[in-house]
Amino acid sequence: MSPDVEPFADDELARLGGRVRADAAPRTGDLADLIGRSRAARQRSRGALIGVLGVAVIVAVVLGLTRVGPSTDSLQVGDGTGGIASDSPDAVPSWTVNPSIPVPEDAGEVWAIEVVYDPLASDFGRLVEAPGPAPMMSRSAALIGVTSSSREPRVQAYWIGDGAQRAAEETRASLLGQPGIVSVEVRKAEPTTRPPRTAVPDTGPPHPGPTVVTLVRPVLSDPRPTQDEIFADGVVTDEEYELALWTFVECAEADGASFSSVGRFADGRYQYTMSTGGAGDACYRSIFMQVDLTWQLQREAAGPASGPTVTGR
Amino acid sequence: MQPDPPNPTDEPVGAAGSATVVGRAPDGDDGFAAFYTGEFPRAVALSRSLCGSWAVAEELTQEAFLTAHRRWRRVRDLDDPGQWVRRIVANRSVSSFRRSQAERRALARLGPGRTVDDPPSPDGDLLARIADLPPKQAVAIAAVYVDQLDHTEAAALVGCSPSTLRTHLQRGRAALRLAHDARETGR
Repeated sequence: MSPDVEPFADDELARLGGRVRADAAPRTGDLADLIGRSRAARQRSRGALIGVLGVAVIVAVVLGLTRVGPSTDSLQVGDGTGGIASDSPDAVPSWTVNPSIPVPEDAGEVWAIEVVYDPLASDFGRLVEAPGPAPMMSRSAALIGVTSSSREPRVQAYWIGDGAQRAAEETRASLLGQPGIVSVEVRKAEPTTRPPRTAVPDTGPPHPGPTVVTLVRPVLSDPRPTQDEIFADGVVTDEEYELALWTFVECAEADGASFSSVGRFADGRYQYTMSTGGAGDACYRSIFMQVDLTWQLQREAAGPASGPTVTGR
Repeated sequence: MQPDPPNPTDEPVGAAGSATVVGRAPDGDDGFAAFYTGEFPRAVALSRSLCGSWAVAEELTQEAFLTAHRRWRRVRDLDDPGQWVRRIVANRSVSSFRRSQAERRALARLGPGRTVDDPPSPDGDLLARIADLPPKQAVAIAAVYVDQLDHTEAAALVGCSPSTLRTHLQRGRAALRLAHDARETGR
């Protein structure tokens, strides 16, 4: 732009501004619509968090890091037709229950769903997210385990309690018709006394899951960014997301957590897997959670093709 | 995974199963309604000067307030929550991606057979030319002439120093002059 061009008249722009403000004055927005959208987004966000919780179990299982304490020795859930197979030689090929929930054998019936999905159109992260809050939050049944396999496009979830069957059936209903879902079977599962490492491992070929490109760990500079700084403008860019992710990784590792991979799918979603057991939880909340959720919501808003983030946590 | 305990605040539950604060506004008033009512016209005016239509501006502004609503417990404690929202509005209004998303939502809201375009008006051309400026120039002009900010405040909105803001203003106004003259010549 030539510096000697006479600029557009200042007073004309000021008058334009006045007319725009006058036109805007009666526009009051729609507060009810906003509240409705906020509620809907909150539900999606909660679903994502539940997905995060579910994946935490899955990752713990796949990595063979699940602590099976005395409270869970009384119940191993399974039907003998499958199990967890992992690329890790230390994997525990067994069904598992959430080690944080003491579940006596007489707690009630155990019902399960088994979901088969198209790995090219879905993935277990999306799948675990998909059931949504209502069935997963059933108050008359406890969700005691979610299992997945690195080799099969299958996910299983188990409930125990008076409402276990209903919880499983409601989850099935919420899954049917969703993209990438091939079948959802509900069945009663029998508690067994099978010890760990004795379930039947799957031996089939690995399913063609999405390709994950491992991210190169950057050298972080001081000061580390805060979540407030990252979404001060209401938007989380990919660069900001990765910066917050690596800051979280650094903090969690200092807290005793370990990460087996940090990568990104070709479609832009991120994936990381970490050991659980409480280490890094505070780091996640203080450094990464809001950035993570904001980024996911941005992707949801960008359209259905983008899909949710898969976070192995 | 563990079923959540009863959670009367309807807050999400974090990975450790403990209640976590994501900074969302409760569904009650909590000051948000007054904030929304008071700030919406100013924010939508800013957006309109940057995005090209009232329908899209209203959608983008609503979206920005939605972001504020979901973090209201934190946003309300800022020195100037309105400025925070207007910054989001400005950023989204100059983003072609955001604009196209908002346009789709606005079309869906308006219903079949409707358009998001404003009816013809004497100001339409000039507003369109402002919207076509490079983003920082456009925001600088909208901040100063529509939102009536002084140069320090406008610089904060644009995300630059006051001296850089003056450069953006100068270049933006020069570009508007060239576009105006070209249009006059073409008549």
